[in-house]
Amino acid sequence: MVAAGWVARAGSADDEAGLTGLSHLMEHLLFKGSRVIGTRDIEEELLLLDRQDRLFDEILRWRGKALRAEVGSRKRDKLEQQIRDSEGELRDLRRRARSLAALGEYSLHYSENGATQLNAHTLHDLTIFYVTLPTERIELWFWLESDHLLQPVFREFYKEVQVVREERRMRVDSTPTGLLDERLRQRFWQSHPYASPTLGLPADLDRLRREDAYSFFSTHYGPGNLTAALIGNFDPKAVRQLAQKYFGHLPATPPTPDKTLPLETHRAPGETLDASCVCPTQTQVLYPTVPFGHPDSTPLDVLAGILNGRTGRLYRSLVLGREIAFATSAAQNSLHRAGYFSFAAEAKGETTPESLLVAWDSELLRLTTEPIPESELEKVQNRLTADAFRRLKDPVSLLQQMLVFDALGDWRHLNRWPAEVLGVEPEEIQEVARRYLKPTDRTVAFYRRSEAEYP
Amino acid sequence: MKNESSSILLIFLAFACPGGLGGQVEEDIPAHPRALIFGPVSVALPSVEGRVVQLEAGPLVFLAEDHTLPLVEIALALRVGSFLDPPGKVGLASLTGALVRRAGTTEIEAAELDVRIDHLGARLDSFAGITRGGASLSAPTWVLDEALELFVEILREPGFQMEQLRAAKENLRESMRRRNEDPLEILEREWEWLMFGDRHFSTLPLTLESVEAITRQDLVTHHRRHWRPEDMLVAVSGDFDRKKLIARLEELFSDWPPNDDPASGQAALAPVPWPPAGPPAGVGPGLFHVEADTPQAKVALGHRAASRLDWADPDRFALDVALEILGGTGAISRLAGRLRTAEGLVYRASAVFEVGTFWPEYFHAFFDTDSRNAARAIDLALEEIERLRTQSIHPRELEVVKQTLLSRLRLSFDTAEEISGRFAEDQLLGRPHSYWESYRKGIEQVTIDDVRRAARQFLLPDKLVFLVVGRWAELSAGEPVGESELERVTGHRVIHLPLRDPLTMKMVN
Repeated sequence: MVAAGWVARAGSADDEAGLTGLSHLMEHLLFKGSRVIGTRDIEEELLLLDRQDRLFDEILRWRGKALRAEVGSRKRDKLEQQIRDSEGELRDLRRRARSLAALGEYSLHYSENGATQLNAHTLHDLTIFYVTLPTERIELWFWLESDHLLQPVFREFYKEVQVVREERRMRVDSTPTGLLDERLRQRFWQSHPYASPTLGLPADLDRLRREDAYSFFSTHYGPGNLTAALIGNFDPKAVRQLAQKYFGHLPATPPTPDKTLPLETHRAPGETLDASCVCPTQTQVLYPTVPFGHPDSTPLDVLAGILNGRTGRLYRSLVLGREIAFATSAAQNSLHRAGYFSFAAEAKGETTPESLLVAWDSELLRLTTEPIPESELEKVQNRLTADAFRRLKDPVSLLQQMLVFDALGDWRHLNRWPAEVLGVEPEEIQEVARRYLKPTDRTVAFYRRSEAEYP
Repeated sequence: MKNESSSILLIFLAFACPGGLGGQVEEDIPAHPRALIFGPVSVALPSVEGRVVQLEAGPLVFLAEDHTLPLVEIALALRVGSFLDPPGKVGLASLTGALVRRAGTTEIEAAELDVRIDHLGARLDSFAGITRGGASLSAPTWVLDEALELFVEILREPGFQMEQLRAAKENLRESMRRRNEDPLEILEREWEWLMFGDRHFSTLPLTLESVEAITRQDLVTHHRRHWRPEDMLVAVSGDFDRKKLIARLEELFSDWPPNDDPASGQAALAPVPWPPAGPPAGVGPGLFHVEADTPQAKVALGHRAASRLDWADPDRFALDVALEILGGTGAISRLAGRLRTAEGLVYRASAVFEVGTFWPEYFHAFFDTDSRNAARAIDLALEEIERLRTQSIHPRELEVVKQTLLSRLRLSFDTAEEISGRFAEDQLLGRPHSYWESYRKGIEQVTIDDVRRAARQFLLPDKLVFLVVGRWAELSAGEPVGESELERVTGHRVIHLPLRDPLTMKMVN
């Protein structure tokens, strides 16, 4: 089997204000086919899609007018009647368009050729699309992927917006901490593009237009902004020829401009989010650090390694020693535009979120003032490098890493990182801890379990 | 197949190559993917022959070498689990399973053991679930010897040190307190009770009382009695030398303490009892609701299976195809096609028929949807079930689903780890090694009529149990009991189930 995929250097940080969720919707829309795939009569279908778009714009206009008219006034009633009529007409147009569409044909071509694991993910800086298919059928991947990159049709647009609304209800609205986590990210990133929620704000989703999607696509899905990778047992020469044959004719676009954005100018640190929830009491602390490719990135990874795991300092001290935490974690996140370090701990028993923060601060103090034993560092380096090998075992996981690292800056990170980890000195770790994990720079969140819910 | 002798090739393509033919259309690109002519895809399954060795001490070892990466993976499996829990001590088997790894050995302090494992860059774990348990090791090749020694030592002489036992109980207590936070978790546990009642060992809940009743001596006795080398199945894969590894395992397993427990004694895998002792399990058809403060209702519907299907039963294959069409993870899923693609009511929808390994399990469909749409989504799901029962599927659906299932079969033997693991699992479940070959043939032979017959025989609308977790006010749109849309489409008066106390799992008002 072959794992094949590509990445677009565009993600939720590329969503414009008022259009949050569009990059993620794009991920869904690219499963809808093209002028060839997914239709029974493309010309007739496009006419119907066009009429839907115009009607939708009219509805938006009438909605605006209705909101400016007094409730109960004749003007308002009339506008609302107009909206209802148009919505009925829109439903009718959708029904007619659907009868001309071949829903799901894109995935069907893959399935009937034995492909599986067809999927896509949207992150802050990028979106990846991938599939696993029999080596003998590799050309199908080139055909289908180049086809929808050349001439995509975003059919079933308004239905797919509803699907994304349900996805948001599932991942954000109906999980114990979904909404709070979203608020925390917004508080931390403030006006930085990473504040944009990937699944979109409900108000924005409700008014997304098909034209917005085409505009996003032409800005971000040109070949200059894409990279593909294939992993498996194949003849590389033949595959290069297929790549030239199928991708070579996509109209060239300039390479992606650099989007790195210094975080400091976009935020006022030191704010605390204090909220109650039907969820475990917990504390999260976020610090601005460095983006992907910065020399301090790997020492920060090793720092997180010292804190994590069963023999890590957090588990030893907060979970076993003081018995105030149920679970703990720390991580350096090196993204394309900026990076951050995170600490999180869930409370045990009656522990307050404040005491988790105090415990974290005292671990930090220890880290920056006491020398890190050589054997402790060696243990972390062994563990991290062995884990790097483990992540290569599954072809799909390897593919995902190559695509993600390429979009973040350089796929060779995959090969370089283990050696970098082994080269980190104890003093470097203390140095990055002092430089970045400063109390003045952080954003803190306290989630408190509502008393009524606590047994 | 990617196995012992093959290598992985990577290719990386940056799109904007200067030599690209910007804007020109290649003439030899077919106008439609149908025009691409492909040869047949072969599904050649590995044979167990030459891959299994029995150690003197009893364990069967399944081996698959792959020298691509400098890693060795070992998965050891046992027939242990909550079916062995004595009355009043629910959780004993799973606590033992977790603490084999976490509570030191008779020689090594838990904290020191953890550091030694981490220092090797190894990963070591142990567990026990309902009918299976075991331990796993992942080690870089160059530390295999030392890691293997620790691995066998924890299995043979786990310390069950008091401090670790106390911490584990404390953590169980904390996770019990969290039982009512996630609506999906509430749905999943109530579903099991609706299907099997609360007397079956698979659904007996862990409670504060049962956890507190478990003593260190219980763990020691349970381990000595049930974690026996003669019952162990070992799957080894990765970068090892077969001869050396077998010699090393022989050595490590040779000085296991003898089985002197009079209550033990069974030579083969412990039988899993069925039917369970006690009153008949589960409920009849009905509509059940649990109140939860979530804007998205979680919905399950299904019913118990009449009996479990034998490994050789051809109905398995037709049923597999039928359920993949109804609600599988591939492209065909009618539930996803209808509820998601066509109606935009859900993000995910699935259906499975668990034929059961040791006892008859159930048919189960699941989706989550805006509470106000729940009745409509259920109505459409019922329509799809009925359509599968009464109308023939399309030949293309059958073809696509067969390709999907066969590809998944091929992928499930794609790595050395999967090959050795699959064969060890066969042994554990009593599934013949030849099952995979008969599965391949069985799927290929399924006909359109087989699918309709299986759907009629196994999916029973009259028997359906409906479970909905969410805000009743939104689910029923404020209609009085007996007149809600949800009750109309399901054909049942709603029964409101109270939320359970998280520490005792008793219903509270």
